[in-house]
Amino acid sequence: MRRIFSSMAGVLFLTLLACTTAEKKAVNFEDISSAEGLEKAGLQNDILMVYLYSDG
Amino acid sequence: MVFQDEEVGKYINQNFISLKINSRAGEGPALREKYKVSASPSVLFFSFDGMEIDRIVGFGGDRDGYLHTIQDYTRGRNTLQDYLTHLKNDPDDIDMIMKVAEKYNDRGDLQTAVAYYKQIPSLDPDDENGYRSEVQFQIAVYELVDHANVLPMNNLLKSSAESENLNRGFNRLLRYYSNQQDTLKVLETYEKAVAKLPDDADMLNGYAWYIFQHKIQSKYAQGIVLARHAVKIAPKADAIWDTLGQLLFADGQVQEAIDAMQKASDLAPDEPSYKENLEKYSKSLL
Repeated sequence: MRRIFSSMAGVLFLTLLACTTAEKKAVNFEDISSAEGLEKAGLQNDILMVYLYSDG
Repeated sequence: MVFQDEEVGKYINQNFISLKINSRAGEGPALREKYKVSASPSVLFFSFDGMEIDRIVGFGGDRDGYLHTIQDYTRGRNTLQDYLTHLKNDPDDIDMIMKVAEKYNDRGDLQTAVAYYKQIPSLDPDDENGYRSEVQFQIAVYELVDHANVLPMNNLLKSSAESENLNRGFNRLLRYYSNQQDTLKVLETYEKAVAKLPDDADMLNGYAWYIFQHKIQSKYAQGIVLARHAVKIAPKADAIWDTLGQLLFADGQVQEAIDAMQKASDLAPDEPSYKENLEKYSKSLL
C-alpha cells in the first residue's frame, strides 16, 4: 500500500468508491483498506476531501 | 464531531469524495509529511488533478463556520488561489497579504508565508491594521523553526506583554528545546515562562509535569508548589490534580498524593490510570 502514496494520483485512485455517498446523513468516509482494486473512472469532476485525524 | 452533523454530512457527501486517514498509522505519517500537516485534525481538499485547493487546520467548535468554509471552497471562494487573484489586482491590500500569508502558513510553507508577512510593516508603518504583533510572532517562529535562530523569539518574549503571545511563544521555544533534548534550556525557558505567566494553569502544569516526567528530584518541591497553584486556578482540571498527585507520591508524601489523585479520579471517573495510581499509592502505605 505504501507505494500508492508516492503521488497524489495514487491517493485519488484509492478513493474512488466513495462516490456513492450522496444521501447519507453523516459523512461517509471510506476505509482505505477497502479501496483496493478500484477503477479510476468517474473522478474527473469531483473534489477529494482528505480528513487527517489522530487517534492518540 | 462536525462530521456527524446531518447538514454538514449531507453537504460533504453531495460535493466531495471523502477519505479518512489516521495521521499516525499506516500511510498517514507519509501523507502528513508530504503535505506538511502541522495539526490534527486537518482536512485537505484536492481537485481532480491532485492540486490542493485548500485546507482546514483544526476544528474550533464552530459548526456553522466550518460548513461555510467548506461551501466556500466548493465554489472556489476564500481559497489561496482566490486570495492570490485578489492580490494580483491590488498588491497593496494589507488584509489580503495577511490572508495569503496565513494560507501559506497553514500549508507549512513558512518561507513563502514570511515573504508576505514581511511586506506588511512597510505598507502599514503605524500598524493601523493591527497586524504588527502577529507578524512579529510569525517571523520569530520562522526563524526558530527554519533557521534554529532563537534570538527573535527571545526578544519578542522579553518585550511582549500580551499573555496569548507569551503563552504560544514560550510553548514554541519549549517544543524547540524539547526536540533538541536540551533539558537545561527547557528548564530555563519554563522558569521564564512561569515568571511571566504566574497564573497560567497550563504553563504551571506543563512545568510541574516536566519535572515529574524527567525525575528532576531537586525540583520536586518547586513542582508541587506550581501544581498546587495550578489547581487553585483550575480546580476542575483532573490532569493537573494528576500531576500534583504524581509529584507528591514521587516526593514521598503518600497521603497527600492519595488526596490529590482522588480529586483527579472524582473529576474524571472513567480515567483508569487515576484508579491505578490510587491503588498503587494505597498499597505503598501497607
